[in-house]
Amino acid sequence: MAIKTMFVDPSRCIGCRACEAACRECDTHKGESMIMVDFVDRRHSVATQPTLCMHCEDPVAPCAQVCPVLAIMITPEGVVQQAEPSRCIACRNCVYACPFGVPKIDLEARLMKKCNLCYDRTVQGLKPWCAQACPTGAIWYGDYEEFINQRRGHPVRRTVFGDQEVRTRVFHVLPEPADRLDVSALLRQARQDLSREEVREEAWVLD
Amino acid sequence: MSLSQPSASSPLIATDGAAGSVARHGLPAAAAGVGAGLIVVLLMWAGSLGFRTFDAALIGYAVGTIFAAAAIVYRYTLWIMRPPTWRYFKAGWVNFFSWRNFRHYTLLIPVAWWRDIFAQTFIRKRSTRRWVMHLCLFWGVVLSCCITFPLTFGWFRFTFVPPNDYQLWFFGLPLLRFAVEGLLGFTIYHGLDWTAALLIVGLVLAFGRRIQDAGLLTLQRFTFDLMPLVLLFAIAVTGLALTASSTLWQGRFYWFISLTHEVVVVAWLLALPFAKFFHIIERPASIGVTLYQTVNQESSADGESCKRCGRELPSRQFIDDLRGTLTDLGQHYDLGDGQGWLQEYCPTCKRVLRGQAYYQLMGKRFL
Repeated sequence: MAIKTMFVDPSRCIGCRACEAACRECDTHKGESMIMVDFVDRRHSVATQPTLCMHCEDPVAPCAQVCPVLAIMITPEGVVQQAEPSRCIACRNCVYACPFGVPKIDLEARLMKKCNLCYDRTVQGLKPWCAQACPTGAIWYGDYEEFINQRRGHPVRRTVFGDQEVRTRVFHVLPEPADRLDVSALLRQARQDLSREEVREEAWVLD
Repeated sequence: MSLSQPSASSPLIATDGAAGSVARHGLPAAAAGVGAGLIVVLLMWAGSLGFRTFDAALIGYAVGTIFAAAAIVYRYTLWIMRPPTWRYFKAGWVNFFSWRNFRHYTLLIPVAWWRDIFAQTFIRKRSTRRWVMHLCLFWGVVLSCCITFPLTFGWFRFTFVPPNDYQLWFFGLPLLRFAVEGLLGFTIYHGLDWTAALLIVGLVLAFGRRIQDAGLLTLQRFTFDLMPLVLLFAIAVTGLALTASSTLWQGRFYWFISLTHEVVVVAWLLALPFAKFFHIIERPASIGVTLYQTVNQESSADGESCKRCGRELPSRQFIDDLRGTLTDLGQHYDLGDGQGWLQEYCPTCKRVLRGQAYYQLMGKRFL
């Protein structure tokens, strides 16, 4: 059976935060959203990006690897769970090790929380709350073949930070064929563009 | 549901730097385990005055405890040898044995013990009901162990002092004398009944939560989460049944109940290093982490801040140690061009950086 996962396309995000509101409904972290919607360039643009746990596969879950008390566990399907409450000592290693800035920490309650792909829903074949609520398909749940048949864009699951490549269970959707999202190279390009001129956002509508 | 930890035994982590942990540290860990077992035997020998005061009826518990001690130390050694744990373990003890720290943070460790271990106030932040539940379970288990182990090892023994007193001995030394029929005596004889009652209150609250909570119903695992609680419940119920048998049922079923009690106690002890209750061994690490974080945060002259937004980060030492751990695990998140490591950015800025990269890729065109 094809593996269902998430496809994140920030270019479709309109910053409505329906995903955050829906995420709060999850039974495993009641009332608190584990998805974050951030402005990417607040001074010049209203562009926003949703971030949920990418469920890293290789290297497998850096958050779990740096956990000194083995509090973060992984299901056989590769879903990285939030910290086991009896073990978490709130050392914050996971928070700062995560290359995607996902885990949240409650220092008072000594507990790390993160997206667990709505495990209570997905094991029943339901979509995660955020994918269910997203009105524009910026967060989409399904398998790779379904995505290719139904959607535009080119899903990749390799993200590069300098010399470190991270393969994730969750896909980023890119506008053109590419094998990876190279964050460092793109940021370098962005800095070079900025040094040449002030680049303004162009109005752009999906057809 | 079954879960795996990214530990040395997990196939999921076969490619990371800790993969060979069992292979590398298995032998020293096994040696430490055997050593711990021998130390327990030695303590039993010393405490029971050369096994003269040892109660042979408790031999099953004693043997189970020796094996459990060996298994716990084996697991503990493997655990602290993991790169992130070892770093905290080392730094925690270095901080603890520093005279400067002792002068500056004299009260920090006792307060941390109170908050994190004895009163567990952090659980109250999660939920008051969970806090009450956990206090009942914690004190039920700890007090039971404080009574059971010394009795099993022959460290405690009672002698009759005519006309109507009992003398309590500990390690061959007189500890307490009390009236056979007095209130203190009654309290002492039924010590394990009180702790069993405490455990049952905690376990009822725990099972209630595990039956009602929709999130837990999906995430909990039988062998990891439920089995230790079931065993604990069986220990408490059979323990109370032993008292009931001797005081109310004229000794009926005593042999069967005592054998069942022994079996579940030994099973719980042997399961301790491999299931949820291993957190009893792990939890004191939070004291070391509290000391590590407080000392490092307060000793940084200007503090450490996010390279992008300037928000405060835990400390320079923390970031350096985390980078060291990631390097040990074969991961390098250096962004290049003097932008530093990803770990030198706060979580929000890490997300924004990725967003900006994506934005650049899109030609700054979003919906």
